[in-house]
Amino acid sequence: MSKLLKYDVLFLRRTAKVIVFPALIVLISIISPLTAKYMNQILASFLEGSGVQIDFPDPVALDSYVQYISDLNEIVLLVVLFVSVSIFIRDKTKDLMPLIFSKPVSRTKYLLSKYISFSTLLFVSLLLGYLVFTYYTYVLFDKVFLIEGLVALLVYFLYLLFLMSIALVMSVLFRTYIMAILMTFLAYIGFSILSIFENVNILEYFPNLLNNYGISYISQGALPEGMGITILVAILFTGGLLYLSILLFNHQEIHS
Amino acid sequence: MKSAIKITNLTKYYDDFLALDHIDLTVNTGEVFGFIGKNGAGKTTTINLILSLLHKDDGEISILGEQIKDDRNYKYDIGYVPDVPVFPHYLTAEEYLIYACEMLDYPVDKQAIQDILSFVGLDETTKQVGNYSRGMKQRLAIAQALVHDPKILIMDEPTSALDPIGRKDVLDIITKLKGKKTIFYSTHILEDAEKVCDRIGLIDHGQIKLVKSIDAIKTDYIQPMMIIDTKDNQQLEDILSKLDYVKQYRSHHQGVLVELSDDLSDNTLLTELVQHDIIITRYIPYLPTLEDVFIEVTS
Repeated sequence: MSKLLKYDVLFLRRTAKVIVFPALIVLISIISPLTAKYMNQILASFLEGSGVQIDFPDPVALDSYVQYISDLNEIVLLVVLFVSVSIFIRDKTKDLMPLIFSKPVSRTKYLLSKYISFSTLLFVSLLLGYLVFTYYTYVLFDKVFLIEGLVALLVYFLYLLFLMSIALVMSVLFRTYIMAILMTFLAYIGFSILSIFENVNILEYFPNLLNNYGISYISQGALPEGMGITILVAILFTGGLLYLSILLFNHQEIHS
Repeated sequence: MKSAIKITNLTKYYDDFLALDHIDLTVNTGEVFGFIGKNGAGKTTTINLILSLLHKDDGEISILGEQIKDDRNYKYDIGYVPDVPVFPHYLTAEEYLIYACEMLDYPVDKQAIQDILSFVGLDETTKQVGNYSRGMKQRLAIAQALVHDPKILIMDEPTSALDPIGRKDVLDIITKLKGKKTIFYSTHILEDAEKVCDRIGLIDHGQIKLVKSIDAIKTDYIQPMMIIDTKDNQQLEDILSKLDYVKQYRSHHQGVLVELSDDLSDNTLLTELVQHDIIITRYIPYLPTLEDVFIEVTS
């Protein structure tokens, strides 16, 4: 496994992903606190002279965290979906597989190596981003929720792992990037729609609700009810999807 | 002699299409075995089954006497050269060979890697593979297949997409390896098979039609045929049309190709032509090519 990981990391390095991801997340980590701090002032300046009178509350540190998680959800999540499918399906679409599996390479380790290498890059990028975000939030708001923010970030990372496991299954199932990314998005949208029905018993612990819990945890300072079960369900879903992709891949034919 | 590859009753369906129809095949240790057939005959399917890239519907495959089951260990003894090799574009040739060694749990020896690259004539090792020409990629494919010194080399149409010089280079490499490795060489270019193979197996529509040595094939399929060229081939054809022992004749780029009755000695026709005062510029026996045999067997 370590040999496969070495080459998957080399791929991330040589294709600049190891630069692009941390850079993107660090950029968001800088912009989010700034947006939270000055957005109200910017909106107020736009409304000046229009006759519309809105009183914006003074932004607080919590707003910076809400903005950060929201930005990560809107930008990073989409990029992760696109890139993870491209990484997982690349060897198939580029016809690299026959040469790889003409050697005694374990298919299980091969898949896990791709998943773990990209997950690790994301984790390190998120941690780096979080350090930058914490610094800017402190400078701008004079207050941080260091531990709570870190927990929210880990919960967000778990959500990314869950989505990446969907991407992995789709990359194994389909032969083209377009189909795999399309089906990954459909699955993502499907899960998002399900999260609307959070009052339905069976759906109230779906992984899509993880981000809500992250924000709630920061604002409440204590674990929200149901967060533990939702984390457990997300871990089970992720593990199950990984197992499914391995099972499918091990029984799949490789055409050259 | 111990068999390097033994295939028994191998069957493969693609949905309802029977791609391999219960084929039996044995490749002896140390020989260059040419696996010839038209495109779509079942050559690549057979190779992909040997490499466990595809799942067989029936039959058995043994490598060096061991039947292939679920384990991957037999792949340590195999080097594989695909028809159109694709490599990670961001690696250099040396890096790819190191990768191959590591995937094969084979000790990485940079000097040995350089030696293999020199052996296949690939001296440009610092350039990323993405910038390689088709021929360079094929050389690298052979190098990566040899890097762990396997007993068996499986080559799937390695010359099919190469220019004449590239083709010659690959055939030269195979010639150099002859006797040192068992080579399972799939091709539809019969001229190439004829140059380097000891034996050939002919596959058509998923069935093995013929397995023989090149010499045996030529002996078995040889016909008493002559190529004759004269100053006036029209006159020649007029004469030929009247001879009972001439089974048939047709134009050939070297003159006229004449098929004679099996029991006729060559000189009978020659004597006949001399008597007609015809000026003969060429009179040579025609040796059938593998292509002639291929056409005869598959038709």
